[in-house]
Amino acid sequence: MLRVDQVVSGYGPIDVLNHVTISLDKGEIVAVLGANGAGKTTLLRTITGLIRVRKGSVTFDDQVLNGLSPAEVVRCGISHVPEGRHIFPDLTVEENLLLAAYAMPRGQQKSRLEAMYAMFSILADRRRQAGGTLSGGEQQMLALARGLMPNPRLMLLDEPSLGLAPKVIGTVFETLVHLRESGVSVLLVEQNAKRSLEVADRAYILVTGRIALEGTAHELEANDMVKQLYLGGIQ
Amino acid sequence: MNIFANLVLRGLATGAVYALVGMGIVVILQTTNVMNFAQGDTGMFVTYLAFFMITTAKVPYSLVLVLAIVAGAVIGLIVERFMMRSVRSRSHLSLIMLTLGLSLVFQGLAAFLFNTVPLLFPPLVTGDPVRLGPVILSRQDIVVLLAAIVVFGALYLFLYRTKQGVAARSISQDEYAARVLGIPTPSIYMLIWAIGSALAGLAALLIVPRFSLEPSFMGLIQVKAFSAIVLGGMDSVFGAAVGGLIIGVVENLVAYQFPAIKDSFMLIVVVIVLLVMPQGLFGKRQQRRF
Repeated sequence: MLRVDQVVSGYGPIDVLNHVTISLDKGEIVAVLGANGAGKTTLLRTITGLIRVRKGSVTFDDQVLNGLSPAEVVRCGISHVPEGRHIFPDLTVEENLLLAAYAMPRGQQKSRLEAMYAMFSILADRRRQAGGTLSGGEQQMLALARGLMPNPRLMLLDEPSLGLAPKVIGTVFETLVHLRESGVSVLLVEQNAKRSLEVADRAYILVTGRIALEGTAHELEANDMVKQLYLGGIQ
Repeated sequence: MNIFANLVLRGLATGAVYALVGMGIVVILQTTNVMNFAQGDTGMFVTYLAFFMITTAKVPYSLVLVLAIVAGAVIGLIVERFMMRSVRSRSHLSLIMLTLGLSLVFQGLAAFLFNTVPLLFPPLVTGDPVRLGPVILSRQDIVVLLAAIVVFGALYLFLYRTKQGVAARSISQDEYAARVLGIPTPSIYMLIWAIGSALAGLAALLIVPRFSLEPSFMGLIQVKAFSAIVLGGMDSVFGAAVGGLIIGVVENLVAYQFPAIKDSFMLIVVVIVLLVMPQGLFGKRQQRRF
């Protein structure tokens, strides 16, 4: 479904990603793990067109995404939930959600909105409240709901567990499993390797802009290097 | 008492002028974080175009008003598309300097094309001043006041009730997030520049009958409009409107007693307000990206 093929991209004079190749099939949760600065966020930004592909190609269901604007990529069926949630603090919950389905006709927007309120009841209670007044966990729910608003086939998730209480993290990862059941594929970028490998089907390990290791979640959980570097030592 | 009421009302009419210019500046500033120093002179240039539409082409007044608004919008589109867009990713300061340069370009262009001889712009509305009880107002002043109210209402509806308006507000809060969500930010920037510059044209056209039309006639008004938005808080259209009205009224009251200090007095008031309330009277927060 998604193919990132030999992609090089970066900022200014620096290439952050060096010939990165990953793929994702329909209905999969794929995790990309790696330390700070490995290029995880850059990878997501490159897929959604926030930064330019310098070499290689990104294809989604046989459509080449190279050179498309973020707005066009969203219309292809890919949504992006950025790291740090990026809720609009002075807009209401409802305005935050509606903006995520900017290109949709009004009637469809309304039905997506109701679907989101059904899935995240906490947001329904707070629909007229400013985004900045929500708690961290509620903001992450809003960020997830914003990612789902345009009815994507693939959702890119950047560090959804960052800065959240363990209980809330549990809820976030449960939501991902629900999503997979409803047919939405997920590309998950995380530092929390343990949690990610629990929900993911497959995973890639990104080290300084290159894919160092790939395999099914089980294979990686059992890998000694992964255990040592990402799962907190050998149990 | 009668004198006082008259001074206040006349002051409101003057303030409505500052409010109109200020609201245009704030709309652009809010979304793009660019302080448009060319706001006044965009209006000046449009007013010259309007002048020749009226005097040489004999276009009816109501149509000229519409054409002036359209001309302002077109200038805004061009400025955004061909100047701001290519520089935006590089340096924020250059954007602001560009608007300053643009202001000089408009003044030079006007002087070159239309000469610097002051022209008398025919009043928009003619007729005797209107008496409202003890207060006497010229019809022109009433039109300006009404225009300020209508523009304020329209901007408010745009920013809070249309999806493009909500998108503009989202960009002002978090431009990165807006792009991530797939909001077509380049077209929103163009729309905002068009609206802001259209307001510049409208404002200048409503004001010009009080002055004479010459390349520098918007200079002092622009300074007052800046004071208005600083006073009202740089991030709210409401603040710009109220700030403009306050400046107009205070200025008019001071001018009655001490005409020589009316312009400087207002600046002192602004400084004092800012010492106590750095975010302005109605600003929610200080500007972040400067």
